[in-house]
Amino acid sequence: MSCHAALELDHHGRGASPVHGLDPLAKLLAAAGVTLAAISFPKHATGELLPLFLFPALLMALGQVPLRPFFRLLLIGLPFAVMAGVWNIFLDPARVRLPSGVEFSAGWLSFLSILLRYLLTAGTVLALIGTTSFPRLLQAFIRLHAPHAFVQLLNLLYRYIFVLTEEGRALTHAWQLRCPQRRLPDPAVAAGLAGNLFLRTEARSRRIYRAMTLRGYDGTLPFRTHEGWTRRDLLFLLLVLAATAAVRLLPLTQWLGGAALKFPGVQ
Amino acid sequence: MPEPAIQIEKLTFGYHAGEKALDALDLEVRDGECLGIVGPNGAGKTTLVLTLAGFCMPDSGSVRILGQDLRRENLAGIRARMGFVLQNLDDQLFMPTVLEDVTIGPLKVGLPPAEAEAKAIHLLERMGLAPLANEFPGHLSAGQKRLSTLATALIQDPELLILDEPTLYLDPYARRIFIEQVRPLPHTRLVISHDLEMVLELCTRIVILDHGRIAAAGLPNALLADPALMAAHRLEVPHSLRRPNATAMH
Repeated sequence: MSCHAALELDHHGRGASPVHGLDPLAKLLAAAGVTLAAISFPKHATGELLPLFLFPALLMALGQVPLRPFFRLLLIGLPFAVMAGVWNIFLDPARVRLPSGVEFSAGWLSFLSILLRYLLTAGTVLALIGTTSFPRLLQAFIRLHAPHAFVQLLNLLYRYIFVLTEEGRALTHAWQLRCPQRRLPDPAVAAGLAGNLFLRTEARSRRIYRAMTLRGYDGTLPFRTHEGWTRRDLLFLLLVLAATAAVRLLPLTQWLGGAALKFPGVQ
Repeated sequence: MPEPAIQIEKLTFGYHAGEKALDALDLEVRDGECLGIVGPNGAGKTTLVLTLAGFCMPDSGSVRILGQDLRRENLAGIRARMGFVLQNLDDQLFMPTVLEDVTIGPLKVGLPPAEAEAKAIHLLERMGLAPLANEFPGHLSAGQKRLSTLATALIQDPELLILDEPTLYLDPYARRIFIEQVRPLPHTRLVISHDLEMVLELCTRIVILDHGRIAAAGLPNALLADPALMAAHRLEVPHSLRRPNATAMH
């Protein structure tokens, strides 16, 4: 199911909206800026993080990224974020007192902060994937002078992750067709299936390596890197970085909250 | 008389001790011909391709390709003069875009990027793949992937083209397009396939390989039309060669 969602998002990355048309390097740097800002906030920051959600939200809205696969993929990592943050509730000794006098452990705030940071950073990455085709993202990494081995690994991983998923699915289907009355295999059968998948994977990697060798592979693969950097891309990047810096350095949420309190009827 | 493109003498190879996937095989691929190799499963066809590619080194016997003896130290030079279209479509395309996949070969032999790209685009146009140049290969149809693999082989200007089960996974339309692309090629070609109709269309000569040896060699029309010979090697007379009232399989 998650594989289908990933495929759908990946497919959408090849769209033709104005956001899709932006230089991938500009989008990658902007996403990196937002991510860095998110992780640089103090550990109890919550409300301060909220304006940063505008970045993935805008990317998705302008790129018309479908919400269903986006949220499905976002949900996959959520349990890990919960696991990482839930201990703060018990381990953080600080106490917080609300204006109403209610007092509680600051761990709740850091837990919420971790969840928000996860949603923000993972959401930014998914929005980036939904608005940028993978080959263009790779080109952006190359232009950033990312290590060649990293780019090659990323390329091969992406190229074959779907093929391997298909192998896994074929194995599962074969089992299901022969044991239609059972939803999950016995541990022994599951181990056999996993071993079988490993062997298939190994055989496939050998065939791929052979094909690469026949075409002159000597440890490096040549990638194309030319992409037009226009004024529009520069403007986009500067706007995002400036807005991100403003969110990080200025007490925007306090100002907004203060301004809201000045409205008649708001206390 | 020109030297044969491939000259194999008494080639023996086994994956395990005591087993012979290729058993004292003698084979000659003449310069300019299109030779078909057919045979049942386990006959040694794929082992032969792996040997010609230098992935399986002979236990005994000799292999001479394009005038050079097949030895580890010669491999890079020999491979650079050959083009391979392998069985599995997905294993052969590994770059982010079709264009990048096609340009790898020439870039690796030192062609300037602009020149390699122009050559690749010209080739892709010829095959009707130009609109897909910037597509991710994993998203192509089987027919498009197959043509792309052919382009990756042809761009290296090979003197010898080896096609291993090239019509596997293709629907009739994609298969027809592929055959029409391969038919006019001037290269010396070695076609290994179970698709006997295609072999009949493309090849000027065929050999039947069985148990790692040549069981028969001759003109496709003569060999493939012989029901007894075909049945003896677990093959079937192609439909186009069947006579009315004659049984194809014994």
